[in-house]
Parts: sequence; C-alpha cells; structure tokens
Amino acid sequence: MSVKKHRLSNMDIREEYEDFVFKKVMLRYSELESEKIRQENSKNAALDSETAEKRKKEIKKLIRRNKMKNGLRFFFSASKKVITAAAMVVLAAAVSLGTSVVASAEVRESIADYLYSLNAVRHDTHTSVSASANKEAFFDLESYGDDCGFAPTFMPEGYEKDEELGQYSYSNGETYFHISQSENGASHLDTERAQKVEVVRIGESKGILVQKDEITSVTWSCGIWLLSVRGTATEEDIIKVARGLRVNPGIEKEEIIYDWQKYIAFDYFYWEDAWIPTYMPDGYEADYDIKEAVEDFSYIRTVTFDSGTSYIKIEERYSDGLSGYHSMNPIFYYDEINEYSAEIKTENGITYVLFEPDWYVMIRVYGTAPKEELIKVAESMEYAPIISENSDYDLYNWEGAWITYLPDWYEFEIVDISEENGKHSFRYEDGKYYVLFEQKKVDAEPFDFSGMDPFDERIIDFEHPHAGATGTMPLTKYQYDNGTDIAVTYAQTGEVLETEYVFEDTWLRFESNLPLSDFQRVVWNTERKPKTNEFVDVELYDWADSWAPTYMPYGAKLISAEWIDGIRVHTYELLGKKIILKFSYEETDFGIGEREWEYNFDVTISGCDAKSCYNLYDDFYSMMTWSNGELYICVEGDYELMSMIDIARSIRKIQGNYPLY
Amino acid sequence: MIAMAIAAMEDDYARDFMTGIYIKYYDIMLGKAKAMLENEEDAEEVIQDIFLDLIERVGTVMSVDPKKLPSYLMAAVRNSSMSKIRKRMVRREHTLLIDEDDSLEWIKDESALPEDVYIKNEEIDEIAKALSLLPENDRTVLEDKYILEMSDEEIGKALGITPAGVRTRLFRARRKAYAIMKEGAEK
Repeated sequence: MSVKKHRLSNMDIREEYEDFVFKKVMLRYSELESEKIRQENSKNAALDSETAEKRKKEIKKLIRRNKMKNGLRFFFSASKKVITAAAMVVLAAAVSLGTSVVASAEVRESIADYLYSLNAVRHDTHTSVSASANKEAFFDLESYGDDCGFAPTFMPEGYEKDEELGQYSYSNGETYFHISQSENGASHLDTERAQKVEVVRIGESKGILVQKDEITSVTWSCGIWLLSVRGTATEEDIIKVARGLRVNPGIEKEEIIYDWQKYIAFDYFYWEDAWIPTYMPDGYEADYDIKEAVEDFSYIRTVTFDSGTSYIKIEERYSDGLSGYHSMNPIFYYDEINEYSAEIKTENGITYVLFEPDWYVMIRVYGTAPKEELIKVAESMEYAPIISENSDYDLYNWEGAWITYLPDWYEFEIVDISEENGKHSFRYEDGKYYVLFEQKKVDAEPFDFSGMDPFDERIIDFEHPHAGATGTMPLTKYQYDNGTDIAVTYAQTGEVLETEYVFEDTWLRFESNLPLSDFQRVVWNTERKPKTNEFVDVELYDWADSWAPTYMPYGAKLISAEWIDGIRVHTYELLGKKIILKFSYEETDFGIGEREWEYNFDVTISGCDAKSCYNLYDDFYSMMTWSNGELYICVEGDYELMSMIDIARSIRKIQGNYPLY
Repeated sequence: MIAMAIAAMEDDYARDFMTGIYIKYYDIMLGKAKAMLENEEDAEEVIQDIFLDLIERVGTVMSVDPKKLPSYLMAAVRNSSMSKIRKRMVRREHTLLIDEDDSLEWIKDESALPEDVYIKNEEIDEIAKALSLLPENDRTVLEDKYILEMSDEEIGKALGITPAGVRTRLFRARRKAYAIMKEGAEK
C-alpha cells in the first residue's frame, strides 16, 4: 500500500518537522565532527609538516610552470634605457618563451608603474635591486614566503594566525579574515545581491568593498599585485588590515645580487640567460672548446670540465618551450634538484643529472665524476643573466629608425647596407648565420595581408613583439588600439625564419637562419632609436613658464596650438588619432566629470594622483587630468592608452621659457 | 594529479583555499576512504574525484562555514566511497548493499519516533553525538542531505536508489539516530 501525499497530511507535517530538527542536528553534528577531525589532524601535524611542505612546494612549482607555460602575459613598450635591470630579466624570459602578451591597458599601466618604481642598478660585478621597509612593523612575516609581495602591518586585537582556515588566515575564534594576493592576477567580485558595494581608498589605490551576507571583502591592485582581504571580521578591521599591507621586506629589502665573481669559469658561460655553476670539485678545469648545437630550434651549449681522470659536462638547452622538453624525453621526473623536478641516473659509468630550472632551459650535468659531486655541481647552478646591448647605433642614423638587436654570443658583422625607395636593408653575417633586417616608413598605410594564407604550415607563431597585444590569423586583420594594422608571423621556410609587421609608422621585416629562440630575441629586442632631441617642440611651450612634454610618439604632427577659454590647447595627430594637451593656471577638471566613462583608473603622474578615465568599447578615448602645483594639465585623445600615459609622464619643467602673464 | 589541478586554477584566492584543503585534509580524507573501501587504489581514485569536484564547485565550497569545512569534506568522502562501493557491488553482481525498497509502507511499523514526540532543544546535542554511532549507510544519506545539501535526485544517483528511496532512507536514518540517542540516555 502506498501512502498518498496530501498537502497537509500528518505525514508531510511530520516530515517537515523532522527535516527542520535534523537541519539543526546536522549543524551541530558538523561542528562536533569538524572539531574531532581538527584534533586528529593536529596530532599528526608534527609528523606531516614535511609532507605538507612538500605538497606546498609541489603546487608552487606547478603554478610556476603553468605561469611559464602560459607565458609572461605582458609586454609593454618602453625604452630599454628606462627599463630597469630587473625588468630586463622579466623581458628576457618573455623573449625566450616566444610568447607575447595579452594584457589590458590597466594591467600594463600598473606593470609599468611597478617597474618604474623598482630601483635596480647594474654594477660591473653585480646587479642589485633594493627597496626599503620596516621589518619590525610586520606581523607573522615568516608566513609570507618568497612568493608573497605583501604582509600585514596591522592586526586587529585578539586575532591570531589560524592555519585551520588557510595559509594567510587569521581569526579571533569567532570571526576571521583571509589575505590573498596574486601577481598579474584577476579576481571575481561577487556583487550579486550584495548588501554593500563601495569604492574605498587603500593607500594610493582605489579598492572595491563588497559586503555580502556575513562576508566583507576589499579588493584592490597595487603595481602588478592584485590584493584582497576577505572574511567575517568587521568592515573597519578588514579595511584597516588592507590599508596596513606593505611590501614584504623579506623579498625586497635585501639586495638581490648577481655576483659575477663567485661563479666558476664565468667566462665560459658567456651567453645571455646562462646558468652558471658556483661549485666545482678541486682539480676540474674548464675546456675552452665549448660545444654548440642546434636541435629542434633549441640551442645547446656544453661546457666541459676535466680533471685528467674524469670529466663533468654541463649542457644547457635553450628552447622555445615544449620542444626541448619533449626531445630530451624525461617526461616523468622522480628526483629533485633545488626544488626543480629532476632525473638522476647512472648508465655505463656515466651519471646524468637532468633538471629544468625554468620552462625554457634544461640543464644536464653529466660525466664520469662521482655521482655526489655531479649532484653538488647541479645544485650549485645559478641563473646569472647577462644583458646584451647592441652597438650599431651609428648605422641607423636617421630620426625614428629602428635598431636591431644581435645576441653577442654570435660574431655578426654588417656585410650589406642599402636604401631603396625609402626601404633600409641591413644584412649581418657571422660565417654560419645571417640576419636580414629591413624597415620602411609607411605613413600609416595598412599592411597588406592579402597574400598570406592563414593555413600556411610555415607560420609557426602569431605573436607580435611590439604591440603588447596578441595577433590573430593573418587574414583577419588585427587592429591595434592605436589604429595600427599589425601583421604577425614567424614564418618558417626550410631553415629560414621570417617575420614582418607594421608598428606605428614603420614596416619591419626580419629574415634569418638563426635558431628560433635566438631569432625571437632579435625580433623582440629590436627597438626604436631614442630621439635625439630631449624636448618636443620646445618653442610651442613658450607661453607657459615651465612645463612641456619631453616625449611624443613618432610621426605625431601638430595640428593646432591655440587658446580656448583661457586654456592652452595643443592638438597632435598620429595615424588618424588625436593627442590633445591642455594647460591652465585656473583650477579646472577640463570637463572630465561631464563625460560618461566606461572605466576609471588610477595613475600617478609626476608624483601626483591623476584623475583618469578611458573608454575601451565606445571610442577608445582616454583622459587624464592632474595638477603639478603650478598648472592644471590634461592629456586626452584616442591614441593608444599606454602612449598617452607616457606622454603625460614625460611632461617636465623645462628651462628658458617665459611666464604666461 | 590533484596538485596539477589545483595549480591550474586561475583564481589565486580559490587556489590558495584549495591548496590549504589539500595540504591539511588530503591524508585524513584518504585514510577515511581507505577504511571504507579497503582498497588503496580505489581510495585514491575517490579522493582524486572529490578534489576535482571540489575544484569545480570551489565557489560553493568556499562559502561553507570554515568551522564546518572538515565535516563537509568527510561527508564528501563518505558519499563518494559509498557510491564506489555500490558500483563495485553492482559490478560483482552481488546483492545490492542498499535495499531498493522505495515504498514508504514500512514507516507505519516504525515506532522509534512516535508522532506525538517532539524533540527538545537540549536533545539536539545528544542526537548529534549519536549520529557517529549510526551505520555508515545511514550517516551518509543524512550528510548528503544536510551537509552537502544535495537534492534527493543527486543522492539517489550517488547511492543507486530512486528519490523516493532516498526519502525512505532519510526517514529511517533519522529515526535510528533518535533511537540511539534514547538508548544512550536510558543507559
């Protein structure tokens, strides 16, 4: 017999009642059970701390690998002179990966901010990066390891670290909060049906405060870091903790020093991105005959150390990512060298220690020396980047020229220079390899994509080195946000690699038989020759007593310089886009508040907080206004945002001008 | 595999959260699964599936009160292990561990919880304690319902019974818990 269901049958009421009671019962059960599990866990904590550490490392390593695999997804255009040494390391990694960059203008802007703020100095024997912070003011600093940029300097009363809740969590027994931070990260803010969504000021940034149910969160960005404090603590405490986060001195206070002298046989590891041993057993001497080979677009260099009775070889394989990894075939690693996955094996009296300290380099230390010594040598390997510079500036003797870069581990010499119909060609050779570099001013004519076949197997990469944006299939025109059409290819023809594209007002083409990784270096490091005149159109700024831009993108033409309602307005045009500079002694926001904007962003210009907005989808228009204490200044227009920021930041006090009145 | 899946998570906050769970609770979860399944390989498979599922539903998992998170995880282990056991039994063509009685007829004969008896607030604590003495099958269905907040359909799918069968099992489990509590109190 079945029981029929009536809307208000006793059975239904009974069931509902039991359901209600059991919800309470299960809540209580859940608490009791959790407590039991915690106790059980804490008993094992001491035994398992090693395992926990191992797991943490394993995940960190995988994250790092994922990051490398996904590429360092940013690139920004700035002069090499401006970029610090630390930035160069980052760029070098990006170059070697052959990956370009997908980054929003904001992210690029904040990266640029961060890099500008770094203080790196390259000395003859070392490069140092330093920052200062008061270590004593920090709480719980040991929790914030090498991967963390920020640590708390404010802790609400009664709160203590609570590992039960997570690595960077604190609680007072009743309420809790969690600090999270990510580099170049993104965050999802759940504002749906939130009780409160507000903008709050966190240091120099604006953060978003969201209160939903019992959880309050504040999310903001600082340089390349995306930070958030979230939990059931009071709004006041959460904001205070957020405002108290400071750069972890453990990371930045100490100087990062590449001490060239400590490396063994430094002279032998002469190439950029080299990994160099800092330990070598007594009696082993380096052999000058450095073996070089190219396989699967990877460059392999081997340095041999010999004691007369046994040898140690250090082989470094630089690849554009996966190819090197697979060709060596150690897909599964069971050992570790300095936290890096490694494979150690001995065959026929030769011990091999193979590890991957980075996504794009594999190191193999092998030989007939004792296994322990080989492992010690492998463990001593350190990254010691050498930053190469091009010395061919004199050849590129016209305004706005692009100067190619040639890795200095080759001995390239210029063998041919020609100019025809405005096209400059430079051919370099080193006996084995050649690089052909061509460029031509195109006056904003779009690049012709029509001859390109998107399914051409020769096309092996769609990334673009200079635009800071990922390209697309050649037949689908990609229009960069400053209006420039971009062609992107590293097309492979037998042993020859080619790429051509248009950037701003110049068409550039490269052709070479170099290994892919080095070819990419050449392309990525090619840069615009710095303009000879530090100031732009100084005479235009005679009306003001001091301030003028010292940078303007190449090809920008002055359209008008006029007074409009007491405001001095200079309008430039480039590739059909406008760049407008406005100056006023009277307080004004130049109408920024009257327009509707898709985005607001924070940008610091000459140490001042600028009010800044831009539209991404509507008309790609941006506007920045600020006051330097003497003048109210505005930079606006529909030219590429990063360049607009560069222009704004280049406005300097100049000498010899006359007062406005 | 679990570490790889966690490392691949894009949201750093969620990834930190899952890393914490992995570091802290993996062993105890695996231990529980091993005890239930008596097979290391199956236990590892179950835990791996649970982590992949947790990663997929990380938003929900993060909204669980941190104080109750461990029991939430253990409930997930019990649920998945039971499901595995069921599949194993079916595969071996043995009698199903879970009975297929979908009718509510038997309820009439159950007298453990008379209809005029109402549970007092102070008894809630006692019943909660009694739950740990419940057979694994009964506890799993209660946990699925009230801790993992699964629907009758979802529980049915996991346990290989119909939604009506789930209701039956819930009835029985609740009454058993009450009976155990009463028994304990009388002693």
